[in-house]
Amino acid sequence: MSLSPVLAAAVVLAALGSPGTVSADSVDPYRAAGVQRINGAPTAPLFAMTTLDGRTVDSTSLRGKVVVVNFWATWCGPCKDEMPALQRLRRNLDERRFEVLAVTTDREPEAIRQFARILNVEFPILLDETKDVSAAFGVRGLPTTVVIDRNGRWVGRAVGPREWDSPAMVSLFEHVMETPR
Amino acid sequence: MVGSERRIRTRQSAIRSLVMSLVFGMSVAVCAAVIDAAPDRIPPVLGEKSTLREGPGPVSPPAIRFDRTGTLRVAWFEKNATAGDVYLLGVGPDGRPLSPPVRVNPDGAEPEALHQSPGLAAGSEGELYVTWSTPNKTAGALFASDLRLARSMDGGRTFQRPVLVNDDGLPISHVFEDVVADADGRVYIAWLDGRAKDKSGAGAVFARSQDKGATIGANFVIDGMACPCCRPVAALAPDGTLWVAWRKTFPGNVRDIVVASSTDKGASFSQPMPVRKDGWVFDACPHRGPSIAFDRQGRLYVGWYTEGTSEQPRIYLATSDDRGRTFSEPVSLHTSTTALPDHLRIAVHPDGAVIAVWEEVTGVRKRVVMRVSEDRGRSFGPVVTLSEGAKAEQPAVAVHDDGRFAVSWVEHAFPHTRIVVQQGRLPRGEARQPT
Repeated sequence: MSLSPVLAAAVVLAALGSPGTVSADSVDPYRAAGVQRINGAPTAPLFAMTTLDGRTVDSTSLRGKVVVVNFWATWCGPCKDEMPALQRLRRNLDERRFEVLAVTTDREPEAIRQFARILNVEFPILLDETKDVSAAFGVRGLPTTVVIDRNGRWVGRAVGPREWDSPAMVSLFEHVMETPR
Repeated sequence: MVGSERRIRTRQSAIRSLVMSLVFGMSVAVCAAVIDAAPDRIPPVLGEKSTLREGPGPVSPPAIRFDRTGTLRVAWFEKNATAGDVYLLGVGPDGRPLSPPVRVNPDGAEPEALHQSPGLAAGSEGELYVTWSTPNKTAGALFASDLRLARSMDGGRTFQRPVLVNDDGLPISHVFEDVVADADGRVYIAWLDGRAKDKSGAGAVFARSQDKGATIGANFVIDGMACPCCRPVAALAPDGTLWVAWRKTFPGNVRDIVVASSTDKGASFSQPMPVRKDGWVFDACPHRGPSIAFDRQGRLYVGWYTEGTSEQPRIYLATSDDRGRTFSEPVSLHTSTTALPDHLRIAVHPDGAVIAVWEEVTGVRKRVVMRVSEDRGRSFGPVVTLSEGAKAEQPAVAVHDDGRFAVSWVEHAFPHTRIVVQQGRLPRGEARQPT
């Protein structure tokens, strides 16, 4: 895992000190989906993390895609509950333009593998063993999910479980995918 | 006869405590930390830090308690590539281990996860109790676990086979437990499990042993609307009343702290009483339970984390002198404007000195800090930084009647992880007598 400390500090302070507000616009797709829009859309913290199967995922390699990063843990019941919806969301959207990453600070590969196997999780599970990436995104509870747009900007955050494959949520991601670069 | 034996044991215990205090006092005299204290405050004396365990494998946060003899006990989980174990260690006043770590769990009862410390309690006759969750490998069950209690009747040299605490036989999670032991051989355990959950994701469940942990009584639910990932805590008041505190899920996903008491040795509990209406709405797992303790006058101290209605992390301490019916206006313990507070734990000396420890977190650093109150929680001394590494977290704190205290935490110097312990003495420690 690597992360720019300065960037991480800047982003976390921005996220925690002024987490942004949901637009008052009633047709705002973020509001409709129950996702907090991050005002100003700061550049998302950069990261490179190892997957459960030993590969490295570098956030810069995902530019051009909308990326949903879901922070979870094996002890978190609501995380378990929402994971199937994330899996369905990923299947429903164009994988050339959309990616889901699950990030955990757990250091228990066997439990994580069991989790992935039972829930048929197909998207990458990344290991944030140092908790640096979680800290950089200001994660203070689980599940927390952040949305990164095609330009690598942090545009949304949801704390708590969501119906990730609901029509409102699909509309949100289609909206973000269509946003010009 | 029994009374005379008890008096002898009490005297022996007091002598042991005195000897350990003297040894400790000598060991810290040469390395007392200089703390920026207000003129009218005498700072606590801090001994040297000791690393109890260090290696590349992951470890859990530590649990610490002083046992009947005044020996500091530390318990933790650690895992390697294939298995995990529960360990217990005695630590001398100089910070050195008294012996190699003792493995608590037998084969086949490895700990399920490392995200929290084991439960650890010390009985009045030298018993030690350790709790942890083991995997329940029922096919198709996800993160199912069973709760275990193991006891040592020989001062921590060996542990008997653990007994099963949960009595439901369900392949669900039974986790986030705390354990305390009273002077009459009862062991009380509170935890979270999913059998009685309402809409919150977990019930706060309770069981007791009336025979020093040999057997466990029937489980019952204290609250079906507990926050699903916040560890409940238990403590005994000086009058023998048992107290449990937890984070409750109120309508609207408000996650505030409540307490309940049992005046019949854990046979039943009062309705939960709110500590403060913070109004923290959080539709997720905070993983931040409260911390409670009593002084000898029966004042209840509660420490907790909340983000209130502002999304700003805060840590508070409040007290109650009327058995939880009302609480004082809380004291905010966190003073930094550049870091966020997290994972507050408290320990209270019988005379009302409060030791509060927590994490201070920035985007690039996490350190363990401490503040001490000498006036029963009304005001606190300066913030003292304890940890040295860039990533120190999950502190635990314990205090002995003779004025010694200990703080332990986990430090990460990736890929290595270590458990650090630091002992100290409260201000005016020489005036603090064992009770």
